Amino acid sequence: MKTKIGLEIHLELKTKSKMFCSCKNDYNQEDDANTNICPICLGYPGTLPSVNRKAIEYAIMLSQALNCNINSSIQFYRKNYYYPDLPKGYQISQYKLGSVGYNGYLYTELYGGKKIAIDRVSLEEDTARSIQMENEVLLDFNRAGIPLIEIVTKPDMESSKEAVKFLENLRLTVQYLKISDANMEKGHMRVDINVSVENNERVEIKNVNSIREVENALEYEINYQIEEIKKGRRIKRTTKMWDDYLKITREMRRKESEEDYRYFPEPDIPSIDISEYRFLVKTPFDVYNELISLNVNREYAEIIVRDMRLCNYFYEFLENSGDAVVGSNLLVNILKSFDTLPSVREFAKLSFFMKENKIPPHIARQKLLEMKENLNVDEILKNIEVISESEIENIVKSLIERYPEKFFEYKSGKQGLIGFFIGEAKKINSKIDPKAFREVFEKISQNINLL
Amino acid sequence: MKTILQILELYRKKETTPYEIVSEYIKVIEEKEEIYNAFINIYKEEALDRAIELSKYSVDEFELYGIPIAIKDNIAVESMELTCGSRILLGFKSPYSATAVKRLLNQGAIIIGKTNLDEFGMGCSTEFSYFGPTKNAIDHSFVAGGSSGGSAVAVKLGEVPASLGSDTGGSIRQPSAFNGVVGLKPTYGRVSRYGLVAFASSLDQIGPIALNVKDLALIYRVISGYDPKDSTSVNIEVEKIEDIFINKRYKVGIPRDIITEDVEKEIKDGFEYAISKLVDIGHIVEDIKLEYWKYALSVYHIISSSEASSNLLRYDGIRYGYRGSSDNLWDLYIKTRSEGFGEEVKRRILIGTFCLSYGYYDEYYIKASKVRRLIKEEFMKAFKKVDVIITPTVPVFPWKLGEKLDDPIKMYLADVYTVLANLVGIPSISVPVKISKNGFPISIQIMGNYFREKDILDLAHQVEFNETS
Repeated sequence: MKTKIGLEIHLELKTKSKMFCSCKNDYNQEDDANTNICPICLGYPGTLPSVNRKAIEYAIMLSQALNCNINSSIQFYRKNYYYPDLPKGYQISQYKLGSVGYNGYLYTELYGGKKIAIDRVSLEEDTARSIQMENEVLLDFNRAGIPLIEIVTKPDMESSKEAVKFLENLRLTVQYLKISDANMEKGHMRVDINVSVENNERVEIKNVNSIREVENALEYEINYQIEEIKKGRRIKRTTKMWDDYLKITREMRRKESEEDYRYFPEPDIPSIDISEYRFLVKTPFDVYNELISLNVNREYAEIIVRDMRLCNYFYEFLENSGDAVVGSNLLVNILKSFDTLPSVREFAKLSFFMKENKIPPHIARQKLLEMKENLNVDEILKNIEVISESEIENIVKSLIERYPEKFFEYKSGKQGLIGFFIGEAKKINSKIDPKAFREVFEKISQNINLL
Repeated sequence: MKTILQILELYRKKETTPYEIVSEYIKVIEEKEEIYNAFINIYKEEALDRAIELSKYSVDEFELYGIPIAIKDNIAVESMELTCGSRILLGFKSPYSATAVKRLLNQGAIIIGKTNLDEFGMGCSTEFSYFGPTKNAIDHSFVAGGSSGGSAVAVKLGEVPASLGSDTGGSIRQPSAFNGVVGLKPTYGRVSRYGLVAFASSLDQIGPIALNVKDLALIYRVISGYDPKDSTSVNIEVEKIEDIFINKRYKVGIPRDIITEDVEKEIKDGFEYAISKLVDIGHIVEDIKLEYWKYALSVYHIISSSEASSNLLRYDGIRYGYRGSSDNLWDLYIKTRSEGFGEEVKRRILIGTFCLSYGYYDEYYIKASKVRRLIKEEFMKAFKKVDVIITPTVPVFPWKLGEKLDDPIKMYLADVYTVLANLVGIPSISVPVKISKNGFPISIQIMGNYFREKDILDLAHQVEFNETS
């Protein structure tokens, strides 16, 4: 059955201070509860919000990265409701018109994939963290007022897999922009899901806290809806919670789900002209295309782009004149598994000598696995007796003379005999590079005509 | 009764000290408070301590050296209670001071107490206070006006030489008119609202109340100016005193259609008297036409109540103030707010919540915002022709305490002229021009163009009727 999925993602930004006051933004929750608070983020009588410009810049950067149109001026709105974690009784948020970005898109793959339309990108403030104890609720206002970006997609995804791919690309994008760590365990990225099956009413699933749980919640809910439809039951429009302990979706109380938020323009913050603000942003898609243009193979490029550690290392490597093709290969196949990566300069140097055929690939691989983060290219070079092409030629010629019948068999089509010649060559000089030997052997053999 | 300028002169001549001055005013407060109830809290010891502290400095170092000032109790002063005239904030002490208060303190002023008001500024008689009504300074069986009734009465009684009020729809100007003092609502954005407990954020403005216009200008200057803590405050330089009182001749607009038959006869006459006085002085008087003023009061109530319904959501009993007793969250909210708020506040919260509700938002809030824009445009057009626009401050005289409590609509009508300046965002001053037969003063409101406080102060100074001027 046809499924339509739309997502609403909330991202905690890693600005220095909060959205509307100068309190520290403790997004990694390092400090004691209720230490980064002030009369403004506690909603004390008489206080007013002052907008964090950095948060606006981040929202513009993300809007650019998500290919959005950007409004020339933005307006904040109040979203009114009661909850103990909401100090002012309203959340300063944005509302359809006046959001930072609108009508954008993001692909589900780095290359090709499905284009998912982004409805809007807007700014708001986080609420306090509430911790449910046995008989009481504890509130930590360190989180109250942390800048959030809300990203709303169109219902363009058709499976849980697509939703996961979209979210992975979105997370990667914000990490590339360095606007959020998007660490889902720390609650930097929280997702609300809207899902409908066969054009039935849509069901909202609130506050899903990891990409894996998004997948689980969607699979559970889609299956549930399909079963209901098969039984001839009607799907009603409702709001559910994902219970990540029981792995089920559960309907919320009516009161919480059918609130009228009474949005109206925030009178304490005049609209802000952002038409002059644009940034140079580099998305994972840009980086991927850049790697492809450097002849890195697609598979390697994707692995590098999706791993920020590798990607940062690789760019530093390129800046040190490393060879992209040689480097990407070793990075993905060998270095990726290292806990600590070797010095970028050494690795670039290694790629240089490999490119120049001064260090044969099999030696390079072997030495990398031995030396790991202590890679020392001079050390490798010292132990490599570089055998010149003319020397190899001499060895080839002597072997052909020594084993004419084997050479005859080789020439007659028994290509596998090259291994025999390589083995014999190694007896003459153990440091001979099989690849170089093979090239010279084939060249010479082509020039010898059998009578 | 001393003016600020007179007190400063006494300090300069070393004929008195801040300690003596504060003691004098405290004596008046102690005499009058029992009858008039202008204050919610008096900070006698703190004021005397500060007076002693100030004696280390000289009068010429500060613009308001040793001047006792009362602050309306919806403006935050660090470590003083901030009740807003409401039970819901009973016992709440502010951990910080409003920017306007900081500016006063930086210029040597002494905060002597917090004045009574209609709960959260909602009302025009200062009868809607949890701490009981403030009585009119001229006749204590009459209402003080409001919502800054305490601030106006305290000045008129000589309990302080000046005070701060707040004005959302006339809350400074109307009680100033009812008590025969002068009050200024500055341009929206001129004085930081940081620390003013919000009633209607797009209309609220802090302003001074004083015995005469020159004193008013002194306070106005000190509290004005850009504040990064208030995003709606505006960075336009504040005039120097010597540039304000220049005795200029102005083009004065008279919107005659506004003076309907509902206006009390003697107030009409007083207004005509003011016009003739202006003409006598040499100002040019010109009739102007305003069409949309008829809708101003409705627009004002929709917008102010809508904003108030949101601004007052934070009083939920969770973090501070009064908390109803219940072990269930929703019930706790209901009890806290039902028991904590007074009737008038609840009425406005209900109206405002309704106006913002799904399905009614466009019909009420959006429509009111559009009409507000029309009113603004009309005023802007008028200001192309004239420098200032005058009306009576209030169409009625003070009424007997309790007289209009059961008829809120009738009470709201007292604001019909003052709400205009709040909706448009322009500065407006109320200044008495004569005393009526019933002993109450008759005041006019002078509205100026944006950030042209100097025009209305200068003109008000030229027409004010005042024992001290």
